[in-house]
Amino acid sequence: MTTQDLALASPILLPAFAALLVILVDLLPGGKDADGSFFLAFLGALVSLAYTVFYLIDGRSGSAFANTLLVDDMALTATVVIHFSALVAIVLSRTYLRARPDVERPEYHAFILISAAGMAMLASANDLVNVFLGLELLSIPLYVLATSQLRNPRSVEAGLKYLLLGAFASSFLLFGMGLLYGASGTTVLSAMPLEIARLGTGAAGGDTGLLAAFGAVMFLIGLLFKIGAAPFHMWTPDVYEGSPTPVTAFMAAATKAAAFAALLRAVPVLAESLGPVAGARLLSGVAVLTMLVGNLGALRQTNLKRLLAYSSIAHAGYMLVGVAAVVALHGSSGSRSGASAILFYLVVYAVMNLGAFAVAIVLDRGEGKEGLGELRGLGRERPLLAAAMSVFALALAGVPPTAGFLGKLYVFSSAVEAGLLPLAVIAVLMSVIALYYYLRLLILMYVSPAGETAAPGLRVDWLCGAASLVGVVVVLWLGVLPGWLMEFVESSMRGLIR
Amino acid sequence: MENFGILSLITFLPLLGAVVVALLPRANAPAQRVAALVFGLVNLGLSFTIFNVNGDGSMSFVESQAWIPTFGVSYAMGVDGIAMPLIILACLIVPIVIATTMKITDRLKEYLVLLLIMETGMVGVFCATDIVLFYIFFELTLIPLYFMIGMFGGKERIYAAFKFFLFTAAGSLPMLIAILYLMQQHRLATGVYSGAIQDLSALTLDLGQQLWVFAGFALAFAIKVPMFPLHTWLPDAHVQAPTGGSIILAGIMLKLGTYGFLRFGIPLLPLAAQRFAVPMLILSVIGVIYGAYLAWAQDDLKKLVACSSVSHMGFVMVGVFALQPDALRGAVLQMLNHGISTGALFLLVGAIYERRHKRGLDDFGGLVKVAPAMGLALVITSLSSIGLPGLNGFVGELLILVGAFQTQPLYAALCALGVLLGAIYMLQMVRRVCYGKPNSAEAAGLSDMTLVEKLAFAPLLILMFVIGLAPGFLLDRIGPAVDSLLSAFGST
Repeated sequence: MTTQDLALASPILLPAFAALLVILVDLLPGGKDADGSFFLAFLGALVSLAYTVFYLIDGRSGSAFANTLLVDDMALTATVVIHFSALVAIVLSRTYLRARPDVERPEYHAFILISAAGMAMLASANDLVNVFLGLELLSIPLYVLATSQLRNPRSVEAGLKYLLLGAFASSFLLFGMGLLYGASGTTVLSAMPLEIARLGTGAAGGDTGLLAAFGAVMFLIGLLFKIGAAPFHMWTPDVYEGSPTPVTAFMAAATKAAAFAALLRAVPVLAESLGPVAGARLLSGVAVLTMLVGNLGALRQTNLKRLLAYSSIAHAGYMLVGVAAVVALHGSSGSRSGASAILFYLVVYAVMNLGAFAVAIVLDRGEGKEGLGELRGLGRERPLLAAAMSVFALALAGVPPTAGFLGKLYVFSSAVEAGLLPLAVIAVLMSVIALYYYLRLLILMYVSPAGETAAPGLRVDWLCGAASLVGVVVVLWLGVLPGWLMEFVESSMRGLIR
Repeated sequence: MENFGILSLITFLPLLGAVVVALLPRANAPAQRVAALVFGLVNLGLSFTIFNVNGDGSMSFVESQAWIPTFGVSYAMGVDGIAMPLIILACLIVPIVIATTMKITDRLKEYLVLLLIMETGMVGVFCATDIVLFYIFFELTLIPLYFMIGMFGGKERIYAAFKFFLFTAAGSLPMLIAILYLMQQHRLATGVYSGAIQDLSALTLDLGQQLWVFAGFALAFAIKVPMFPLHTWLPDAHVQAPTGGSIILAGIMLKLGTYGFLRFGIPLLPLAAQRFAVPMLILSVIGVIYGAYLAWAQDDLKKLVACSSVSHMGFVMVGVFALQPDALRGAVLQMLNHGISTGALFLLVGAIYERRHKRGLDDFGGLVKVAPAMGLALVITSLSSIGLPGLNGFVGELLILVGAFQTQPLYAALCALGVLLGAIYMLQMVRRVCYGKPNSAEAAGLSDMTLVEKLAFAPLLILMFVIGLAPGFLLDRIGPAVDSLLSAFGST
């Protein structure tokens, strides 16, 4: 371990350090101050974010700890998304927790930061051990966070469900890792494909190839669980509904960023173990199933958080379309566009999703009001908030000129480029279905007659208002001027995919 | 070639207007209306500057600016003789719609903001010469109109707005796939992505590829036109929409479909356009006759006009897919004519409805005696819609029929039947509403057109006569653009 290693790992270490600070200050005499822990956590997340952005712009990337951490542009971009989500979640929590004194603030804030550290680790992990470490480090705090409203049975149910199924998924991941290690003799992800090819344990190796193939599939299942891809999505709606809303927002945006980054890093292993064709077919199948489950499930929801949970499943499906394209084109420079598309989508999704949750928290009013009916008449009562929610809903639906449209365009075009035209067609059809339930939100807000307002005199907390405003600005800005980000994600993939 | 110019100005000035109106105090309705009107009129004035398009059918006032280099998407704009009249019509219709808002008190600000955003979309969609830019403007027109129907429409507005949005959005997503596929083909052929229409039209796709891409485009545009059997959203949307929404729908939105066929279907996919010509003609002719038949059966003024739209737009589609220079000239002119006549009809129907809150054909009677200006306006507009010689409709219909007879005599003959049916339902409407005796005391006491209504109607009336008597000034500009479209077939 050198200082160089520590410097490279600092985007991971900073939030962890901030978390420790939050807990330590809490232990000091007179440190039991909810505000103090908020400001400390806020500062910690802000510094982590600013530092990571600086790191990324400065072009400092490299491998650390004997090549077990690969802090490249891709990992750093995902980490920016993660730390941004953590920051927004902490900001939103201030409003959300105001009416919920039973939640222990210091622990709550510290766990968000620890989870962010785990996610950042997963995003840059280049070694099986670090993948597992990162995954557990992100998950365990989330299990606790989900249950943080101890007196709310739904919250407890959410945490328990997440814990049990998460542990189950972790064991799949570990099993897969064991098999992959057996097939390659190495734990370093970037060295694995070559070893698998050399030993003939991959798809190219005939009968002996089953070893790596099984390993890769098990490994994949572990990650797909975290993403919330079908058929490993069962926990998502319940956990999203039961968890405190800011945690849900954080989970949806940041976990995806971390897990998709890990997935992208594992693509060469998947392609070598399963073969590009079979791998792409497998991932296409998962993507189609995920889009189906997410979009069809969302149609029937009457709870805003559950609707956003299913929508998050659907979005995981769209991003998996990109992963399928990357695997299909593995080995050629064309796979870069798919990987860049996923990275772009992750950024866009984080912003529009956090924005939608910010509005959900305003509507919650500290009373746990999560029904879709709360939106009724919002267009009259709070026109600006309704306009913001419309922008987020239209962005999630992928309607131009929002960034959501360009994200979809990018991902689907990568599928077309990879020759996965049927997959692109299905994805587009699913987007049509999605229009239905996003539009329902707009109808509720705008179309109800005067006097039928669900939330008269709704107070918009300035923190939530600011978060929504930032979201709207970014979603429209990236929708109109996406060029710089697209070029950036393309170039950040250049290190990973040559 | 400049980066930004007049086309960007007339596209985005209304957006600025929307921001200005949004910032005005909510209580001050007249100021909002005046501000919106000023922006609408200034934009109309500016739009006249694009009237003199290049005489060789190429794009004029071209602007180009790299926008999303990763995809080869550029902010490329330009107009030819096909787009120019539609842009001016769009700019003309917006002030007219503002004039229809005199009775709106609830949420007037939202209405005006939506209208101005919509103007940006409508002008932009006809200016765009990049396929992705076109798609974005195409969708941008959709959202404000959805809100306009949903927020300001009649009793069944939620259902109608929903149906409208789902139909049109469901249509435009397959188009997205077709666009992606085309851009992908361009990348395979040249190594780089491009969305520019002239780049894409240089591609040589085989018939099989063209058929699929054409199908993707055709679905989106056929829903927008709307062609039989995808027309069912139109009567709902028209009847539920507020007057302004109906005028925009009839005046501009439906033209996006036919315009799309002209701009993309024919030049990019000539083989498929030829192959699909006969099926499209069959559906169009069904639309002409079925729409007319539906209109004949209606007892409601607004429904009658809505159904007549289906019939008239079928007529335009016959002109497009006759793939013949005269018929195409007629089709472009008829797009304009339909916008003028049907827009005017909706304006009048809206004015009548505002007074009585009834629109049954038998609720009135004797309109020419009770309210002479209104009655006369309705009579003239109906005649223009039928295609009476001397008024605008005649020129377009004649050109379409003459052109279509040369390539597709059977469908032209069937189409001519539509003209006959059109005369029947329109004239019986005129007879029941405008002539005879007033059916009730309220019908006898109907007030005549106000000054604002007259001012709003006047430009449409003038256009009906000017185009009817001297269409040359438009046809001279439409002609070269149409000929350059048909050059995609190699020989014309």
